[in-house]
Amino acid sequence: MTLLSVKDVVASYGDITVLKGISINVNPGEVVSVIGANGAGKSTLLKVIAGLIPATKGSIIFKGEDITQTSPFERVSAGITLVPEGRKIFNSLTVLENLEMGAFNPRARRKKNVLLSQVFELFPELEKMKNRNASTLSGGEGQMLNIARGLMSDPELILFDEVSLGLAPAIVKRIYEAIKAINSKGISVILVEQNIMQSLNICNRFYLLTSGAIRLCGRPSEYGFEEIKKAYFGGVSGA
Amino acid sequence: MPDPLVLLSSILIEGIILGGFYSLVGLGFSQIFGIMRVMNLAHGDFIILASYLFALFAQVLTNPFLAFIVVAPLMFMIGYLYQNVLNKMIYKDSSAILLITICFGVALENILLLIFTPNPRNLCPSYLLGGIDLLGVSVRKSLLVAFSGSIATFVLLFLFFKRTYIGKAIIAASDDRLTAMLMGINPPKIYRYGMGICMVIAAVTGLMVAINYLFDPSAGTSYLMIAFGTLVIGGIGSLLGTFLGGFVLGISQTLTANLIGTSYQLVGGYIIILIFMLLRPQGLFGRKE
Repeated sequence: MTLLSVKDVVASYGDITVLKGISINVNPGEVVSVIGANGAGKSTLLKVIAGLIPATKGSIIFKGEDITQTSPFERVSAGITLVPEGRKIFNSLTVLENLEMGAFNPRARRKKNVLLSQVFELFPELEKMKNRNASTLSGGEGQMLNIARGLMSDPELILFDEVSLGLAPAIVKRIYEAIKAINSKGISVILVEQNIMQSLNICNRFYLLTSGAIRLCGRPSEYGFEEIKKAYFGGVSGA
Repeated sequence: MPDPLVLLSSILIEGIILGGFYSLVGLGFSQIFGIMRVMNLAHGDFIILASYLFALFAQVLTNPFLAFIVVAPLMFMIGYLYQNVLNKMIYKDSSAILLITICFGVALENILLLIFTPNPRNLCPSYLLGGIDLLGVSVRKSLLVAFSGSIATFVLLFLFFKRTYIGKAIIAASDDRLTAMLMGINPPKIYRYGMGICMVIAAVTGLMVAINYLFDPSAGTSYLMIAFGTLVIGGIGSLLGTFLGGFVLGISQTLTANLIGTSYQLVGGYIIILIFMLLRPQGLFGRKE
């Protein structure tokens, strides 16, 4: 059974239609990459799955249930968590309090201490700085906190939006190792990245988006890198 | 001419005690602005509503302080329902929300006028009448109660934000609403609790107003001005800022009252507010936005 299935979803910002009928599937335990140029609609797709932007057409099925009309909070409780792009940590709170907020939903809150020891195992740095104010964290530390906070919600499906953007190569490597470790625990992953090489290396399957539609999908091994690159840049020219 | 040092210390003590009360007046208002980004222009009227609720229940329970156990939950409920109305507009139109709060204020004032008549009242119990000597300065007992009540409220609110899940969630939602939603936090729901708590603070304030001053249904505006002043001086969303903002306002008032004349004491406060608006618009501890 597929874990998540997005069927013919259409979504818009005001008058501009960003997703023009997109269908993707995620199987349990899979890492799925969504690649595509800037403005292709990758982040929008994640926001639609997380419930921040409504799907005007189509449906989203998670664990056999139609969640198209549910609120973002209900989806977190159901097991979908979006790790947002950029430095979206709560600057007025400490590192530990940020993590506690990740476990806000009742299901996660009950097992908060177990989850906390799991994320500290993944990112031991965070345990050392748990009482520091989140605003004092460096870019890399902030991204670790962002990921760890997402994990605190005890997700079955975790969505990463541009997780390596603007980070030093050493940190990027660290974060990709963390994603592998997260996936090895059975958590399914959707990865949105502009860094094609990185995300094709880690994923089981990929979807290539150009201007709001899926141009290519399958296993990375089915296609040559040149073929993927051509499809990728083909979308930019608007052809 | 009195010894200038004695005069200065008495001005400072008076100003600090009055300022502590002003911090309390500003606390609910500044928290509503910090959490929901709503300028609650009905706040003064809510404070006076609480004063009247104390007047009502003090008759039954014989003591205004005892009445708190009834008035506090009542004000929480009122805040909860009030935010329910505001939530319908909160992300859509900030000027409409401003108008709604004004309408609520005017409506409240008139309802109070209808029920309680314009006769001014005061709830000071006899054992709180008179002054007490504090470092050579005579301070009203009831104002000392207001000062202590203010400190206690600030400490409790600080602990609430630091120690409880819902308190931290309120801070998270005011930091970044969209990201808070990704945590499973439902901001409108959190805001209802937030407003409820701010109305409990208004209840404490209303009690202190009622035992210290004469109040009538139209008294709310002057407390709104004080609240606005502490917000401007202290900065948005900062507990410490509001706390010190009240002191700055209180001391500047007692300074003008003693050095220029009692009739000018409000002007002194307003001039300080104006200076802050011009020179330091983010306030003492405000975040730059």
